[in-house]
Amino acid sequence: MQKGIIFLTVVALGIGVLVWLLPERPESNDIPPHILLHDIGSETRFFSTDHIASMLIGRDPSLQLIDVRDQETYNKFHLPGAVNIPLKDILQEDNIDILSGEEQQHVFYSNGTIRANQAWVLTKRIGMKNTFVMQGGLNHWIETIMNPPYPPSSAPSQAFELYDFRVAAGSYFRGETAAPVKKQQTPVKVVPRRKKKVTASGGC
Amino acid sequence: MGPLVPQGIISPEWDFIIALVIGIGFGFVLEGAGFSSSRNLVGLFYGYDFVVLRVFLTGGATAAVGILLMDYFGWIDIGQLYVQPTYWGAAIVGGLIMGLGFVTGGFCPGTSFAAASIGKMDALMFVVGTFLGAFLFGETYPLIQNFVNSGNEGGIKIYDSLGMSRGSFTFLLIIVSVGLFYFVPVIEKKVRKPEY
Repeated sequence: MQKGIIFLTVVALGIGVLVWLLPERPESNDIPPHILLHDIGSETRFFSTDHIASMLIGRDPSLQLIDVRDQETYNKFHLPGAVNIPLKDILQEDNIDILSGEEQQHVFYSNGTIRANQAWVLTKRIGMKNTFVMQGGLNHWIETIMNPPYPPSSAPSQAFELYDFRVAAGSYFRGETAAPVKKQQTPVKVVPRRKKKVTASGGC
Repeated sequence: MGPLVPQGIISPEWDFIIALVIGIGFGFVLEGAGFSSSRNLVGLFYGYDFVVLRVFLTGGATAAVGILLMDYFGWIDIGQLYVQPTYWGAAIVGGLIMGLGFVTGGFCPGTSFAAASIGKMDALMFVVGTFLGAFLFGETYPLIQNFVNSGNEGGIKIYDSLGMSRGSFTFLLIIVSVGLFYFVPVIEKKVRKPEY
């Protein structure tokens, strides 16, 4: 019995010394490349312009728009409530603090999609979870919200509802007072958001 | 290659099934080790039975060694493991409530289910109390919300706070464990186990 205990003690201490002497690999919170590739391929990072418009009109506090263009173009025009974080400054500490907040959905936009996508990849790479991209950027915003095309007469009724919404939203963002659309509807389908990862927690 | 779920090798939808299987195994071992008896459990507080301490220290040291070795072999990426964030105030208050419940009720949440499954009435009552407590917490959450969420330190680790390397901390943990395994029988001999 006593021999057994001494044997176990020696084994435990031996393993301890072994673990102590093991070379340590640095811990990294970076997202592995193959997962990043999968995320780049999936469409879940996109917010449609209609969705953004309805969130802005509804003053949804969970939305934080991030304008990744430079200061000058931001000053000329930007979406309401957007903050300006130029792409080159995105890794500055203050900006990372803004972007890593878990309560809000941080949606990048630029004129097109390219720079917003670059910002998204950078933030994903350093492990941020709540960053998204506005689909099509400001160009698409102008095309869909500010100057929506009238749907062809053969289009389904949803297309007309969407058109009505876009016209109403456009006049809202232009600051017009009277709504030209009689029937106020919100036909915008909510883009499914990614579920928060639920991690099993321990306990005895 | 690991951890399997965060890397998407096993999809998160399996979480509950995996949890069920591990939970059944855990309960089986708890019951087998005599953890369904509140006399064994509260012995820790009175000093006549340190089986809880032994099991937890062994479990902790074994898991630490296993994770470090698996990281060394490249089987698991420690940086990808989820670490529960530390909230100092809430952790201290929660720990006090938990300890009070443990010593008066005779179980901790996991062992109460193990004991309830073999039909112990006190454990069943304990389980009911657990749900009552969870309900109360939910109902009073708006009042205590600020305190519960205050002082989030993030997923900090002891060895970082102590400025040690992972390996040397694990070595220290093993030394402390082995030392305690030799030391606690001395206490157990001095304290007479009460007769029931």
